[in-house]
Amino acid sequence: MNEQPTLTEHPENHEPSSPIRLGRWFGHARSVAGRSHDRTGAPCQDASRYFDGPDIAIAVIADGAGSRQHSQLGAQLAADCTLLWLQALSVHDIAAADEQLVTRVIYEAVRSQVVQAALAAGHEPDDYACTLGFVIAGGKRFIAANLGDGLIFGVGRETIELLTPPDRGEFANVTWFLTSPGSHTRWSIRSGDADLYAGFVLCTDGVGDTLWHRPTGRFAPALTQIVGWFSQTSATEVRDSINQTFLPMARQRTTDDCTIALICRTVFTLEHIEGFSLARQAEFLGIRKGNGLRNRLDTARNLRRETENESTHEPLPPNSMTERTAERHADYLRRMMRAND
Amino acid sequence: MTLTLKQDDFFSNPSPRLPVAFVLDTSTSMGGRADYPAWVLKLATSLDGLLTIPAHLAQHGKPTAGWVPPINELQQGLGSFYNALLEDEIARWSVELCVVGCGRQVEILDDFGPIDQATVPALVADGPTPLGEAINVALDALEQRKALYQQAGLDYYQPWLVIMTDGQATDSLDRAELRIRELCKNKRITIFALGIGNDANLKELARVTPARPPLRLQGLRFQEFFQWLSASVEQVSASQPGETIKLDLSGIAAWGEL
Repeated sequence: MNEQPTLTEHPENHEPSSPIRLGRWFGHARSVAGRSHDRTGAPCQDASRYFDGPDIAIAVIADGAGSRQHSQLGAQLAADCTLLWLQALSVHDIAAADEQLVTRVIYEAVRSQVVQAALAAGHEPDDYACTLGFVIAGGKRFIAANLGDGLIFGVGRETIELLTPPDRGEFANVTWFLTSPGSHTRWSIRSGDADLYAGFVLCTDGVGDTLWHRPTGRFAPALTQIVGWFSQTSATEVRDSINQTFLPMARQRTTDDCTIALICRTVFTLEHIEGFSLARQAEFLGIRKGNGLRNRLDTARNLRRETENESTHEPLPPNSMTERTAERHADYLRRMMRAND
Repeated sequence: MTLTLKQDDFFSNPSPRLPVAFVLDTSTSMGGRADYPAWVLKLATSLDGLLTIPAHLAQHGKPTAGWVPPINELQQGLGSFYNALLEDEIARWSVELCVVGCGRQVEILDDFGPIDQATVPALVADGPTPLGEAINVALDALEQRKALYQQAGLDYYQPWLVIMTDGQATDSLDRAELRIRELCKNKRITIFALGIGNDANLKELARVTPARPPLRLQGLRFQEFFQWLSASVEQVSASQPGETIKLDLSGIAAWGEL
């Protein structure tokens, strides 16, 4: 194993000062059944969700208890509910919110939903037992919270940090679940400056043990690499590689279900974005190819002109978009610029 | 753009470990006197194996054609158990075995380690049955192994202790009993105690298995017992965090009785 890795310094992330630098979050989440399920045919009991936007991103993981009959339903429901509740928060909310309060509200709301769903289906709440972890990042702040034996990493350009360690009992098959009595006291919660990290990686215990060596506190190089991938190529390609390379390799090393969810922030100058393929431009700027993409790029160029000495640029050609359309594109781009404040 | 990862970009074999310790009776009686009357066994054990019992005293259960000493059956069953674990893709990375012989000497015949590097120990029937000492040695070995897992940062399941005897202890069980009661009270160990033959003292054995009553092996059905045991061990090694394993109690009927 190599020395503790650092995120590869990518030139596109360190462009000399430029009038317009656009940032955005990309996310991904994937859960696959572990090898121990192969012979039983049991479903994957993990669930994971993500949301990524120009200035806000959310990732959620849930790990259904292996011993509970319907825990995969509990995990899916908990992940869905958590994502929905977190999506209600704005950048301003994230900046001002008390992380303990946010976590408590999420916990109570999601737990209540899971218990009600179990009872409505004629099951015991404990049949839906699952762990839960989430990260929400918006503007310059993040909140990370974990209940159970999942792990949340903050991956910076020079350091990696285990933001929330797994909460386990002495034995491997002991942890705390959403439906466990007193589980509200078991949350591990962190918040802080999102700018310190290029990405946040959440994983359930099976994958976590392949990425973090507990006795030494060392981190596996794979952790830095997958976060760095988002700066190197399109998010679509990164997601494919995580599904086709990362997860199969992690799955070889554990018998447990494998889940990873991550949100990563990438920042590029407008000049770099203009050099991307059309598909990657559209993906990065959050719009379809065609007129929409052309209008968004034109709006970005206009924003650049606003921030620069106009005499240094040739006049822009006339643009056919309406004022309202231009304002809509500008709003979106300002959110991308705000993500890079 | 090619996005690749190397094998050493991950940490390997993080599988939680399941330590299983066996205390196997390797006293003289396991070599062929399992069917002698109880008073003969008592005499033999009280004399610590110094006396060779004349064949004419064996009024019951004389060896017949095709009869195999229990120690041989135990040896075969143990070998099958090792093989079954080795062939299980999950258990082989998780289960670790320790075998403590309980005969003329109490000794660790096979110490904990990866199952693919383990050797089935050769069992030799000789001497008395110092069960108390053997159980304490096994408990010490389990504690040491757990400490090693903790140092290495490895997760582990609740350890298992399997005790098999065809007679009764020739030393004191007091300390072993105290230790086991404490461990069981805190749910820190899973214990199976198995009597072999009619002369196994289940009442005494019950002292060291407070959580569930000891069972008596039907005849010499070691193979069936070890098959059940390997299935149970594999079930635990494939379990998930938070999972409470319910053992296949109905399967016990194939080899055991209360």
